[in-house]
Amino acid sequence: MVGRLDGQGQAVSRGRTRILALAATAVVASAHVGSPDTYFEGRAGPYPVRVIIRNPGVVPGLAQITVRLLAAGPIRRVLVLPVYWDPRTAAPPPPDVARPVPGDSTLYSASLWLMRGGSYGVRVTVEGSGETGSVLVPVMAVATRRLELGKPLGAALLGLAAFLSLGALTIVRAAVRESVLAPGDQPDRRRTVRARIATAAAAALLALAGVGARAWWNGVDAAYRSGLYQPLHATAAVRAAGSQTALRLAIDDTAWTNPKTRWTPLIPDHGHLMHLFLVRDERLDAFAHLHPLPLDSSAFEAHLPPLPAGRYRLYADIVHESGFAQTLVATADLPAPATTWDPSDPDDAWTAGNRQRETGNVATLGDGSTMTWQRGDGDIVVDRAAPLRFVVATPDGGRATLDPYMGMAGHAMVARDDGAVFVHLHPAGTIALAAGEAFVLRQPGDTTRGELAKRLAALPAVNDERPAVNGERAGSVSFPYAFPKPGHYRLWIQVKRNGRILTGAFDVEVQAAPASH
Amino acid sequence: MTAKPPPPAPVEIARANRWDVRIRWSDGHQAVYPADYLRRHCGCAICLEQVARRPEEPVVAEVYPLAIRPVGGYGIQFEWSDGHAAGVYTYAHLRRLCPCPACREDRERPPAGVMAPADSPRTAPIPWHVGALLVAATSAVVGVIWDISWHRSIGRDTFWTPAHLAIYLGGALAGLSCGWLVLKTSFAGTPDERAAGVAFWGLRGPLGAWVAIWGSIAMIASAPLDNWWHNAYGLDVKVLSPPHTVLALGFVAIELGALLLVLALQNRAGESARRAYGLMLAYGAGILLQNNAIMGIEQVGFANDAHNALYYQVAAGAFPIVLLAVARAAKLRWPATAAAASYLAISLVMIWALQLLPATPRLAPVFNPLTHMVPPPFPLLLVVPAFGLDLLMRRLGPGRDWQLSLLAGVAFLAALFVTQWFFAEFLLSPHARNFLFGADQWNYDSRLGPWRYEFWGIKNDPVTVRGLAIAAALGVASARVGLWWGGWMARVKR
Repeated sequence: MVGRLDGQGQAVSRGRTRILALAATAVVASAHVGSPDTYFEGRAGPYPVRVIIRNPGVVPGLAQITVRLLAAGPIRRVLVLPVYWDPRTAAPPPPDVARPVPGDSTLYSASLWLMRGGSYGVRVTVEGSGETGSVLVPVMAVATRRLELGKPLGAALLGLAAFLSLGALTIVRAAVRESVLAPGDQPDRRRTVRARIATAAAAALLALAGVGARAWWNGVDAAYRSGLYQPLHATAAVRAAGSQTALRLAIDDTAWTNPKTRWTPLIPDHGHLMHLFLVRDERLDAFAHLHPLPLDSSAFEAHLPPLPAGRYRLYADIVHESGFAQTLVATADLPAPATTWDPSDPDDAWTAGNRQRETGNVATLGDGSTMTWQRGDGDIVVDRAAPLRFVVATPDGGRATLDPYMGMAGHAMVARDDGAVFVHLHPAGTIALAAGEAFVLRQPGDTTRGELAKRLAALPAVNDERPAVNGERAGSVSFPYAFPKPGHYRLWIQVKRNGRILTGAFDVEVQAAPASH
Repeated sequence: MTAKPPPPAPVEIARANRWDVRIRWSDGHQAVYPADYLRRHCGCAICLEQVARRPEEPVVAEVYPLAIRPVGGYGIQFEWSDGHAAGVYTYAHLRRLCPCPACREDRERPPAGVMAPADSPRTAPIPWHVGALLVAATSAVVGVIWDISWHRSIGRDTFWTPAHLAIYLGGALAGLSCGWLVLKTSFAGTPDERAAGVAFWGLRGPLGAWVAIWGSIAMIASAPLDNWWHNAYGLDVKVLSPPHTVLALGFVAIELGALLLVLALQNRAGESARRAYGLMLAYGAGILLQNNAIMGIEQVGFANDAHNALYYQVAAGAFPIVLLAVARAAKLRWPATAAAASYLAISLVMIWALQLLPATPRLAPVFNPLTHMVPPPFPLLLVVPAFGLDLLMRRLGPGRDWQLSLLAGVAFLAALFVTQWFFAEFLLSPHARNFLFGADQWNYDSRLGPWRYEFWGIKNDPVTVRGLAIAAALGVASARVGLWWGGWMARVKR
């Protein structure tokens, strides 16, 4: 109901609402750029599932969740329950039963109520005839859009307002002119004049009220817009480090550096605090996936691979202790490449070339093997499951055996031409694995910042490939995803073979959804 | 042969209010004479001639006595606000005019042997649409309190929660009953019914019906706006948002409509019926007080706020307007006190009833697990300042509204301050944490802490002389508007 009631608002004076708003955004975040929905593929106990959660775009709001069972089998019911990240949360509310979607025996859907901005884990529970399995899907509740008032609705509301205003004026007129007369009496001239004056005064008051209402609405709108999700501000700088070039990315947002705000510390995701992606502006013809090392709590540095000079977009994925993941955005002008590159992290990789927009389905990889995108014949359409399945073959045509690359069978990076969309995908989907771990490993006592992060960091590096779902065979990797906007995209698929990181690049034109089904 | 007793003489002639005159007779009989009734029965030659010539000519509706003077030992003379002062009202004439239902019945009783008409005006008739509108207003206010509790306890709602249904039932009942009433009056009404209405876009109906219909349409209009608002800015769990304000205007209009319908009945009725209507008015005013308290819940809802200045400023602005309006308009002995008691009663019923309803929070995050609905915070003890206002109104007759507002505003604030300051301390103490007071019950998403038992905002907004002066000024302004509004309501006849 009121901020007052949660015990925090009341500690903060009215004049500091702005700080409160910042604190609110502090727990609000979303991994990826321009792609707010969550796609997940994994196992709920013995049941392989694909979960899609559509971000409502507003907080508090209703997110739509669909759960697809990827293996046939008798299922009693599917339960979904959003769990807020805060360890002080008491027992969760009872879960919701997802309803089977008519006409599709393996699809279940439900609405998720995401009431606070921040990190949620959605527990999906599948109850079969025998076993019950559940899995936790991290989800970010974040305000991402502002709805425009449509013309028809706007006109209808304006019409209603006019109707009500006229009605109110008529009531004022009748009240002054007739209401105090005994039944049957006729108003005299004085009364009629007074009624006219009162009506005019009421009209002026109504106009004032209209102006006030407009200002109020605009105020709410401005406050809402200032609370829209923005990733932390970051700045990149390039410097020479001996014969190498180093790239430093600094989180220079006061919301991060100010200890009073409520950002929780970073936790490693696949063993790295930051995954930094460099994409050459517009042409998208040079790409690197680096893992800068932290210099302090806000600056990270990595040695630059010999990328061609030019302006690059930087996307830095980080995960906070609360389980929310976000992508920082920056730009950097890279000078002519340095003569040597000694990777600051063995998992760093890069690729350049591929200047023409290739629409081919086969990419030749660095070690001579090939990667084939089994994209099928159909168009790739916005908001529909995209067939992101890739098969790697050895140079002699046999199926390649892939090593886990940072614990994963593969990584996919998706970027739109104009930089409006950037996503980092895994076979498990859009989620950051560390976010899921944070939910699984958190304890009620984790009210001190950094406790959970310490425990996570102390865990042995996970390098076991997760069991393939959906009967995947060796040498292939697939990613559950649907493109959020039409346009030209480039995909970089990274796998590891014989200890070498290989990157295949593909282009795709994503079509707008057809107007009718 | 027995001695004939002397004719009764007045032992007390006093103003009942600004307009009406109360006369107590030596035989114990007493009655209140409405001013316009007395004025119409002036026995002076000018008036008699005028009545003879133009019997339809009405007296000015809001005429009231400026002065009352005894004449000899046999009668009194009024100086009327319309300038007339010639008529002498003999005691015998006054006694014959007695407007009390019993005397009226005696006068109208046909000679012995003829059957008396069945309908006597002794009881207050309540037309069905007035009853419907009072039920509608009750339903709306119960729904709103229930809905707030719903959001604090369960969190998740749909259109079909009982709380929402109660609110919209109020709107529908008001719209349909008053819609039917005005259509019937306009197209199939008797001349009397049509005469008792006001004109509205070619139709006729009582003013209260039009106000209620307006409110019902405003409630409907708020729905698409509210829906869009939730999609655009999130499900606002706020009491005061623009769409909720339109909705609130809607049900306030329904409550005002109910009040106006009763007022028209009261102001046209005889003395004995007036009391029943007065009680209905006090109840309606209690709902209005409840509304103001709900809209100000963030400032005056919680006892934890009762030690900061804003609490008293909001209370002094929000409540005297209603209390003084009802004190002036309702023909009751203790109208403001009765209204404040209604407000208290509605709150208590809701506090007790809601605590009996089981509830489980259905939204994450749950910081405070609940097993039953969270009751509304304990109401303000408005009965104390309201009683003071009633006393003040009795001492200070009409005609001195500015002086009265000044005294009433300051008196309200003083009584409220003394009452609430200490009562709030009680509400924060362990003695109030029980079913009776329902204190210390918080939202499912509240992180419980020592703040529950602390006064909030006393550092940022402490009670200072300046703060209280602002509150007093607001109280005086609120009282003045209330008197003006009540003065109009006391005269509404349609």
